[in-house]
Amino acid sequence: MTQDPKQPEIQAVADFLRHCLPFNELPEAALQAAARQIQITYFRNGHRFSADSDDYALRIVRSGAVEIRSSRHQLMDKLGEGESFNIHGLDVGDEGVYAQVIEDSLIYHLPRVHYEALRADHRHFDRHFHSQRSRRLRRAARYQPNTNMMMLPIAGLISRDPLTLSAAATLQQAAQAMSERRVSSVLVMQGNQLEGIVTDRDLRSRALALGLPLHTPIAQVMTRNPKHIELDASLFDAILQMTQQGIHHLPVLEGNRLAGIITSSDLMLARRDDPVYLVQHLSRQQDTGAMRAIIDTLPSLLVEVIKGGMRAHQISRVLTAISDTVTCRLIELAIEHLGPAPAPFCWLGFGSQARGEQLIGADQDNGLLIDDRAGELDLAWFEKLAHFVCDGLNECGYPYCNGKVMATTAEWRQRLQGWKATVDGWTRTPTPDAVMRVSIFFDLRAVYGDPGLCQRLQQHMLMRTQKNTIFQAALAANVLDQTPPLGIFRRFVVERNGEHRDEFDIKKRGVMPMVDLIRIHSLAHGVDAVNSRERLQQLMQKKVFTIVDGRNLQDAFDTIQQLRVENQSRQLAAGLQASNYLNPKDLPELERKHLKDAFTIVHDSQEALRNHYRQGL
Amino acid sequence: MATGLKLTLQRIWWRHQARHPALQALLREPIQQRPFNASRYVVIDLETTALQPTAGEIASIAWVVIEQGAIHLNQSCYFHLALNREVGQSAVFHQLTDTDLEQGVNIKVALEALLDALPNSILVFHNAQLDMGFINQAMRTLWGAPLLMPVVDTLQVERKRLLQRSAAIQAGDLRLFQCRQRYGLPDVSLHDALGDALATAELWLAMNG
Repeated sequence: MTQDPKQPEIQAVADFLRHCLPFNELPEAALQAAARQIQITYFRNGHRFSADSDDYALRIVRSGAVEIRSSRHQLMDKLGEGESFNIHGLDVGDEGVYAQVIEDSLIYHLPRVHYEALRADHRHFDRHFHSQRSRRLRRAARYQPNTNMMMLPIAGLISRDPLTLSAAATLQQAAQAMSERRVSSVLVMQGNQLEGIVTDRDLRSRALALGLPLHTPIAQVMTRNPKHIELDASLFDAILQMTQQGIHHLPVLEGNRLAGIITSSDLMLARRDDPVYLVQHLSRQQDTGAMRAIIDTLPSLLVEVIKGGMRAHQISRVLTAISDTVTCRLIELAIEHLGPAPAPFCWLGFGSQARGEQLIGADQDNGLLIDDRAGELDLAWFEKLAHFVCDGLNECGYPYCNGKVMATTAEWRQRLQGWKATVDGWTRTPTPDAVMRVSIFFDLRAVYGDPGLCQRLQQHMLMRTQKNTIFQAALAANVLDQTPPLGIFRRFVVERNGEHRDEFDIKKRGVMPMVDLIRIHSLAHGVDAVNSRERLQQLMQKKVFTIVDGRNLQDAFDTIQQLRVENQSRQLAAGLQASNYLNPKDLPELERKHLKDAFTIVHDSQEALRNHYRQGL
Repeated sequence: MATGLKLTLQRIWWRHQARHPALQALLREPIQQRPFNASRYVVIDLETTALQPTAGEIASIAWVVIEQGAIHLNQSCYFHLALNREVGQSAVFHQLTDTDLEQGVNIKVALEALLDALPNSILVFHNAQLDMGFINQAMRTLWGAPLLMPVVDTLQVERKRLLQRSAAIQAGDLRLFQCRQRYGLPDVSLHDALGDALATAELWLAMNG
């Protein structure tokens, strides 16, 4: 009660702002001051704000709802309680972007001077408004450090016990010590201080080549005050310094104290855990047990690489490469067992494996495509192959498919003729079951064997479906079944009870709707890529999507996948099973915002698709 | 226009009784009808220690200002007043304690600040009768005249509106928060004079939206 009665704190307004992005980042005093500068206005449904007719200000929706639309009246965003817009900031380049009240709204209006003062004084606050929503999302998806293991500190890689000698030691003593320790350098110390370094190369070019006597003190050939690196530097820093200066040894200091040495071969060794090496390693294993042991390290690898900054699409590429390798290795082992194949064949991967978008915990989705030259009697061999591989995959940690989409099922193990007939049947009568099967089937990739077979089947399928709008409409209806878990006013819709209370399935409600949506557009326009990002690229090239829409979709996809793997990594790090359930409350506010933005884009794209196929639905 | 004439005569009479130049000036102002966006409104709420001006006193007073159709929060004021009597029962409602109020300002200071805010304004209350009773009693005690100014009562506006729609009015229907709900305004949990003045001002905006 000590405050000035003529400058009261507007508690009701401050309490509200405190829960709004990015006001939540402001210190209390700035928040209170901002609350005092608010002007409150009320607008009826239908009112429009535009850069032409309204002043430059930040407008915050206190209650009601507002839509942001482009000059062509395309919906760009829906804003609910607590969300804000600056119509001048959204309408960069006078494109005619406008905001329309779609529900009677109380709008808090922060005049330009105060808005700009907050932006000037508070970096986080400012950053939020740098650009409009989709650009904000793009930054989130794309411009995060793409550093992989490179950002891990060198501390874990250095040799802590480097070979050291005093400056008085002779060339011969140095050479003997280096040979004994099997190292390629020696650090020259004066007490605790690093004085110089002598490397293999120095012994060669500065001593042997010049014919220096063996008892010459190493002080004469050492590099004085050598380049060094701090203990807290990253792997990236070390590699950069070595390549820039053309050196292979870097003493590591912690303050003034010598902590160790790092060499270019340490850096090579560091890559032992690199997933690329893992693939190589897997392809040499002789049985499922040994492979399983390697697969079991994947969860901890995932946690590591995410910490190191690897992006979701890179991770899923790697994990797909790994499951491909396991599959191929199992087929090779089967052939060793069963004898050579009686006819050419192709092992097919479906779903996320086909798309190159596998993550931890993926189950099997596979099939077997056999050349028509195979006779009835040959089919038994392929059945045995199918069981060997599918059982092996299960043992290696890729569980059997619940939907029986596996080469062990007769329907998913056929000669080309048979496959074609099956496809024809599905497309002629698009029952919900057939539609579901086909949508699995469109994501198809040759994992092992003759890719030509796979291509022929794929072409047949595209021929049957590309012009078949009835079928496409049935597929669209199936696709639109699952919607992003956003309710009205963009609140997350979570499970109300059960094991996953307050969570939602980010794969089912976020990833799959996008994959489905991108697939159906690809199908309708004869795009043959299977990976979702590649499909989007081709759809943009074919001008099915504008660059902006295509990028927005890609960023939304990347954002959702990224949050999904990060969620899995969090679960694994906490000792839980990786799952696709995510509690939005576990996310920092900005990521929650990004996720909402991404879901909004998914939702809008679904709307567009729904309109496109309206007649057929 | 009989009531208009009566009000004009009353204002002339009280102008001569008033012992404060600002109050005199207010009583001299012509009463004009202007559209909502061209009017200045001062939306006031009081917390009192009783329901009758004779039985209690003003514990706090707050107001917010509407100009050009927008609430300008930077013109808001909120005074906690020093009390002569004990807070008693109503403290339960307003979460005020005697110690809170001991540190309050003299009522004269608060009402002078109010007079400064009032030129060219229309007063707005939710349930004007109660609050105006307290204000006028204080004005007459201090400066010899009541605050005879144009007043809007959002409670009466809403009552009339509901009756026009021939809706039966239930007990509690006209409470500030029930009225707000009918206009789709958000729930607010605060219950102090400034929060209620603001809630009333928003309601008045919505009534004119």
